[in-house]
Amino acid sequence: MATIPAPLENPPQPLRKIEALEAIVRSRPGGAALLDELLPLADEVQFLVQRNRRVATVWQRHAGPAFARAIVESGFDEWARIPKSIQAASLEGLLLAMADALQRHGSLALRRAIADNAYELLRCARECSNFRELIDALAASRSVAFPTSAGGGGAEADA
Amino acid sequence: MPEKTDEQLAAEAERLDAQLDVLKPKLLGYPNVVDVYVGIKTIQGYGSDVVCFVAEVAEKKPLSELGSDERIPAEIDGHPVDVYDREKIVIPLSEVYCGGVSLRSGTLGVFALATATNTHLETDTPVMVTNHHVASRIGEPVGVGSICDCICSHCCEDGIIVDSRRDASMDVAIAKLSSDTRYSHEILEIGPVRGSTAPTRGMSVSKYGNKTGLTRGRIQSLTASPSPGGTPMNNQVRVVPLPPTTHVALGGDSGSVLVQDSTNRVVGIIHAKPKNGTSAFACPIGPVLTAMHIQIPVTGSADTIPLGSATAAVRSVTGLRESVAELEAKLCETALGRHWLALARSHLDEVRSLVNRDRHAKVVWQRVQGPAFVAHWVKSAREPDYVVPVEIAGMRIENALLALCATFRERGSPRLARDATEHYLTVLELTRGCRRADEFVERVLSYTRQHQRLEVGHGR
Repeated sequence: MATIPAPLENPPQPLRKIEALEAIVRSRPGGAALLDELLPLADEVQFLVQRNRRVATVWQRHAGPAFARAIVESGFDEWARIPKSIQAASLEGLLLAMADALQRHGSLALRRAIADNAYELLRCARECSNFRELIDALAASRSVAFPTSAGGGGAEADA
Repeated sequence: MPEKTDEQLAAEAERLDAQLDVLKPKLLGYPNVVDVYVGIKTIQGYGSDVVCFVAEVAEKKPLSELGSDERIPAEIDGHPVDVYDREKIVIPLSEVYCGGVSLRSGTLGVFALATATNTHLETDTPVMVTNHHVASRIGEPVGVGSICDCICSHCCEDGIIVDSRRDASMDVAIAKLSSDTRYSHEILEIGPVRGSTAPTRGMSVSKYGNKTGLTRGRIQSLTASPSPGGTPMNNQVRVVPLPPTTHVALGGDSGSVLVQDSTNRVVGIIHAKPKNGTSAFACPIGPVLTAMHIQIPVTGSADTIPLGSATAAVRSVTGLRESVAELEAKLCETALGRHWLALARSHLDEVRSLVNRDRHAKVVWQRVQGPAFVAHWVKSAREPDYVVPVEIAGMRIENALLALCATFRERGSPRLARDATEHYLTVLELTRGCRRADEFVERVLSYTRQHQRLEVGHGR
C-alpha cells in the first residue's frame, strides 16, 4: 500500500491551496502525468464556470462550490471524506451535469477530453471516498483498457 | 352453425340498411346514444357474424345504473341491437421492401403503382403506402427499418414522400422508392396481394403491422367517425378482433393495410385505434387510390421480387431484428442479462417518447447526433465489417451517452432517472472505444457472463 503523507502542519491560505494540492497530486504515483494531461483544460473549465451563465447555473444548482471546497479540504487531511452528497445534491449528479454542460458549451478539445476521461472520473468518484484514493485510482485507471473481443471476451465463451 | 361468408353478411347488412332510416330515430331517442348504424355485433370484444343495428353510446354504463326506460332494447322490430361504447381515439405511435415492415415509427402497408393520372410520378412507378401521420412531409426521405423519427442518415433514404393527405376521409401518404430499392407486392405472413376491393360489413380481414404482427378481425362498421388527433373523420372502417386476436392494432401498426382473408385484396389502411379498445380504424381503400392516383396490382409488376419469394427479400430487411432477437436470447442465459433486458424493455417507450416528443430531450438527442449514431450502429449490425466513426460532427458516443443520461435524470420519470443513474457507468464502460456492433454484443455478453460467475462464486 502506498504511504500517505501526513497532513500539512500549516495548511496553506486559500489562494495557495490549489498549488499545494497540485504538489500533493504530483507526489502520488502517476499523479504528475495525470496533472499534465488535465491542467491544460483547467483554465477553460474555470472560465466557463465563472463566465458562462448556463454552466454557472448548473455548477450552483448542483452545489458545485460546496463540493469543490470539500474536495480541496480533503486533500490536506487523509481522514477527510469527500461527501457523496451535500444537501439534496449528489457528487455524481454534479459531475454528470457538469460534464454535460461543459461539453455543450466548451471547445472541441474539452469535449474530446470529457469523452476520454469522463468514465474514469465518474467511476472513481463513485468508488473512492477521499482525495488521495481518488487520485491514485484515476492514475491507475489510465493504464487499464477494456479487453477487446479478440482478447478477454472470446475466452469467456467456454465457461 | 357454419360461419357466414362475407357475401352473406354483406347481403344481410344491406337488408337492414333498408330499415335504418325508420329505426335510427327510435334508437337515437335513448339517452347517451350518439350514433346508430348497421354493423356487426361485438361479443366480449370480438366480432361475431351477427348483423345488427349498432347503437353507439358515448359511455357504456352498467344496466343497474340505468332506469327501465333508459335501457336500449336487445331487439328492435325483430332485429338484434348491439350497444357499442364509442372509443376515445388516439393515433397509434408508430416504426420498411414488402408490406408489413417498419417504416419510421409506423408500418409500410403495401407497395402500389402510380396510375396514368398521377402528376407526381410516371405511370407504374412503385410507391410505398402508409399513413400521413407516419410520413407527413412531402419531399422528405423515408427509410426501411429506420428506428427513429429523425431523418438523418443513409438508413432513412429508401424513398421520398411524394404525396401525403390527412382529412375527414383519409390519413395516407405515398413515397417513391429509391432506384436501387428491391420490393415485393407481398405482405409479411399474408402473402401476395391481389389488387383491391371495397370493404363490406362483416368481411373478415387480416393485417400485418410492425407492432402486433399478424392479426385478424371483422369489419364491424363502415361509418365510424373517429377523431384521431382532433381531426374529425367520417365513413371510416371499424375492425373488431376475431379470436385469437386480442387487439387489431397497436401503436406502431399505423399504415398497415387490411386485406380480405378470402381474396387477399386490400380493403383499407389502418390509421388509428381507440384509447382503451381492442378495435382499429381504417380508411377505405377506394378513396385513397383515387386521391393518391395509385393502384394495387392484381399480379406482380416489372422489377419486383417474384411473388412467393418475398421471404428472402424480407430477411435482408429484418436482419437487424434477427440480430436483436439473437442478442436477447443470449442475454437471457444469465440473470444479469435478463435483468438488463427487462430494464431496457421497460424504459424503451419512455425514452422513445422523450427523444421524439419532449422538446428539451429532442434538442439534446439532435445535438449529440443521436439519430446519426443510431443509424451507424444499425448499419454496423447489418454489415459486420462496417466500423462506426469515432466522432460525428465533433461528438463521440461517450459525449452522447453523458448528455442523454443527464437528460433522462432531468426530464424522465423518477424510475428512468434512477435506472439511468445506476447503469450509465456500465453502459459507458461497454461502449467506450467500441466501434462495431458485434464487438459491442461480445462485450455485453462477456460482461454478463463474468458477472454471473462472480455471483455464483459469491454464492458458494
